[in-house]
Amino acid sequence: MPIGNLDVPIIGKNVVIAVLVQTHILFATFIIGAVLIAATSEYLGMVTKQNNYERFARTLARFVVLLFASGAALAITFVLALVTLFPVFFSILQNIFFWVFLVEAFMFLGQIIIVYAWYNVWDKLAYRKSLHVVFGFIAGFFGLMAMTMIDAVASFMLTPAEVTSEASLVARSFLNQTMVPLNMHRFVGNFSYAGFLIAGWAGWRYLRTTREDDREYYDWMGHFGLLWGFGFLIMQPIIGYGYLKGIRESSPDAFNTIMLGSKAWVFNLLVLWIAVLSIASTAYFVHKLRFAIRPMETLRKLSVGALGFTALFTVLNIIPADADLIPQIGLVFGQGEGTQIPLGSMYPWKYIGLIGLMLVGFFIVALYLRASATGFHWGRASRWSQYALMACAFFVVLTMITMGYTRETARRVDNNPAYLINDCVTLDQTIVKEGCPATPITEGAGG
Amino acid sequence: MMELALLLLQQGTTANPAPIGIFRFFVGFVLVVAVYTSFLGFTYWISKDE
Repeated sequence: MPIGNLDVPIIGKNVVIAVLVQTHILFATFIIGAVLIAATSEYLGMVTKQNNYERFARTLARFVVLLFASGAALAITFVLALVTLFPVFFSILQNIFFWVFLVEAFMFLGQIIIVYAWYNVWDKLAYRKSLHVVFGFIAGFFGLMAMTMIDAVASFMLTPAEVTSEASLVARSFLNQTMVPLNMHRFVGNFSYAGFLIAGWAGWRYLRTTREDDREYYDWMGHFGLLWGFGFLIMQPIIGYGYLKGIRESSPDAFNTIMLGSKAWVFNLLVLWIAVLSIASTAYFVHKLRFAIRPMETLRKLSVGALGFTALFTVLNIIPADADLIPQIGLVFGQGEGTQIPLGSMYPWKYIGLIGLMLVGFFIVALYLRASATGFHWGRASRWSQYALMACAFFVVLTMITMGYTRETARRVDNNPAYLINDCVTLDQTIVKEGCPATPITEGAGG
Repeated sequence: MMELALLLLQQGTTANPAPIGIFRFFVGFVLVVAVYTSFLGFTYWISKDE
């Protein structure tokens, strides 16, 4: 056999790939989101002449430049591990997505070049600020394009379309059923994730600093980061619904695995993290409204009500459907799947919870933006409000890890068999002939 | 001891409802968090004096 079947002792080769990809994504998502947020902030600084925006944009750009090496090193190590540990699978992916991978590599290169140039010419282009801002947005654009390319591959692995000819290769593999919803989901997620991390960092620095001007700056930074984080988070239920709908229609077994089957608990974990994010963010907004330059007592009372509704709707999302909680570790009560829990069913309770959470989220953000228009007294935030920001940063990382695990574990289809490409290539790199969408391509390759 | 070693060396049990699968699940999680925080911390450390 020309290709050996290598394995990694103790942790197994699946965990090696999972660790490399998950950590890479935690960096890559932050870098894309942070570049776009920093470029926007630089633009806002140019327009409003407020120094906070410029200081924030420049500091964040420097951090991104330094962080790039970690994200890139993990990506290269991941590809190396994939070629070594899953050679057959990687070969199949390359057969289908050669051009996509090539474009991604060049987008990645473009992103590196422009990000470095953007930071390096900050002073040189101080009097041509518009041009400099464009540098930042182009760097963000390259990052988004690289993400789009890999989203095509990742979505194909879960919902592969049947590719029957070379002519339909691009349309049916690149634009498979969940590619667009996944891309939208991750586009919005970049901002949300980076925003929460920025807010958490600001909270930490606010508590540590002893200088008054720094306290004001980090207080403002926490507010700015959370607006990005929570503002984009509340768009996710609708996009996420579209994504799950795509999975249900084209890979119903995978949908059942993560929503109803043995891995349904990962989704419960996910909404638990989102509950913490939503409640902590809303509590922060309620607290912050006390420091509006023009007192807005009515708005504050309304926001207290919104906090109550946020708690109600998030709790509705968390309630599991049945007592078969985590079967893998024996966490099963009563009759397991036979014991239905009140208020736990998807319809109507989860829908009410998700829609309610979105509506209340938009409401509280609108109230908060209304108060922001007149400004806040910076540097007076309480210790607890900063703990809320730090909790958001911690739980958004858990959300990312849980979400990544959810998508990949969906292909396990109760482990009988588990797939690398759904219905096509199994975990032991065997090509499944029946129903394998890539069969005509792989058989046709090389004549 | 030998049985444990053999168990750890076997393949493809990451997500099976068996002790080795659960062990690997948590090892994976701890590794992700450890690599992430150490890389972030290192980046902060090299940048903080500027």
